[in-house]
Amino acid sequence: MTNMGKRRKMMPLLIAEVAFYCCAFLMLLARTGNLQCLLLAVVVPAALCLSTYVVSRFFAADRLLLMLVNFLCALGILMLYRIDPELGMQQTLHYAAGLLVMVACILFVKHMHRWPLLILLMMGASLVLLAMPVVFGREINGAKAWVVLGPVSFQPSEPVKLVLLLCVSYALSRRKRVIAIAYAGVCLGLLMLQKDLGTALLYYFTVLIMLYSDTGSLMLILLGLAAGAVAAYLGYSMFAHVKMRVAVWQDPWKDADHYGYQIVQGLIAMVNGGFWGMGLGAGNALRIPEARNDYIFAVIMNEFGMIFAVVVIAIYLLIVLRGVMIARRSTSLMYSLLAVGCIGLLAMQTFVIIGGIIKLIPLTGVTLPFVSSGGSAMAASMGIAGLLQGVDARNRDVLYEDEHIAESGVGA
Amino acid sequence: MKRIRSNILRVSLVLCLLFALLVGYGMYSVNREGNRWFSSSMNSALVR
Repeated sequence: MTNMGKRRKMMPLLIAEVAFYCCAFLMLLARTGNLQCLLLAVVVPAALCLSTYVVSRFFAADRLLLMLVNFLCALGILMLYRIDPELGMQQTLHYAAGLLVMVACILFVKHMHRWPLLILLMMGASLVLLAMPVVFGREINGAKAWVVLGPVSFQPSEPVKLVLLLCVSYALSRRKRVIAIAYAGVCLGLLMLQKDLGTALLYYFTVLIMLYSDTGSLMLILLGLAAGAVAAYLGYSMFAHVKMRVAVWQDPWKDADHYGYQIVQGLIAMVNGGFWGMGLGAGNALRIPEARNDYIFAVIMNEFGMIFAVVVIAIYLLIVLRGVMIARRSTSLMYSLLAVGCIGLLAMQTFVIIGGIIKLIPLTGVTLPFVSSGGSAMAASMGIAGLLQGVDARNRDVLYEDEHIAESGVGA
Repeated sequence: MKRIRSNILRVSLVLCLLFALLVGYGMYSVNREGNRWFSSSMNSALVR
């Protein structure tokens, strides 16, 4: 299919996205009377169109993947604006910065050829970054994962996600499995020292998925799972906040006014939303303490209902399946593993946070990719999408070269 | 590469199952906990 044909095929989806957000912000305008909503009703859909056109046209990005990611980012802006208008405006800036990170990652993967020295440098820098919160980090919700530098605060474990994906995929593709496992082990150890067990869980599952994709060895995975179980038990017995989270997960209603308050309020919000939701701006989920971060999915379910929540989960699944297609199309082991790592990380992050909110697993403090508030989280999620897009761009370059060679062969 | 492609397919199947678990358990949990919420003393206190 030609580029023009593909563009036309995606047009109804883009129109639906634009219409949805235009109507949503106008509805918020009618409810709140805040004129900023009118500005956002124009700016957000325009940004969606512009980024879909510019990034796919000039940086060879996959249009469907881009539209799905853009939909989730705009949903984050909408919900955060609903929670607190200032947060919504901040998230718009985070989204713009995230797009720049995505473009940088596409160009980086597409044009980078001298990997060995770079990987070594990135490994060193990432370990220094992860050690920073251990030495002078700030403790929030039991985890010492934040670094404050003057007016700026950030979570080093977020950018290190990208480095982990690149380093592990490179080491595995060069048959240096021991180095990949040792590097991931040191990262996990530093995260345990930060008491950031949610992110440690994500790193662990991502590396396990990449290892399985490379080796196909069930024995290795069973060993990895056994090591993970031992680490989880150690974490449970060493950290009081982990013990408390497990107890709250088992029965949040026992202490619904104190430790179980957040989970119970989340469940109440989701129940009140029902199948069709209470309506945008008419919900009652703002009592949830972390509505802007971990619990934003409960707010979505409260205002848009269970049907829309299933649609949001389906969008994450579509991103994963698109990533699987990109990984399977790649002819290079490193890029194939990089794509698998990206989808593994995004899928596990989505599973861990939504699973925690619906009380399937104990709650861990990770963000919902592309939607939750926060600059570091948005940059990391967009960076992961950028790495995936970069692999796709390389696949297309290889395909183009093969076609070119085949054509010149026929001509000769 | 062929072996890696089939491994990736298996990984994607597991990820799809996890997402299906989210949807299935989500519906069950919200209904079950919903019943608990509607019959709890917290709710009756609010209604009063």
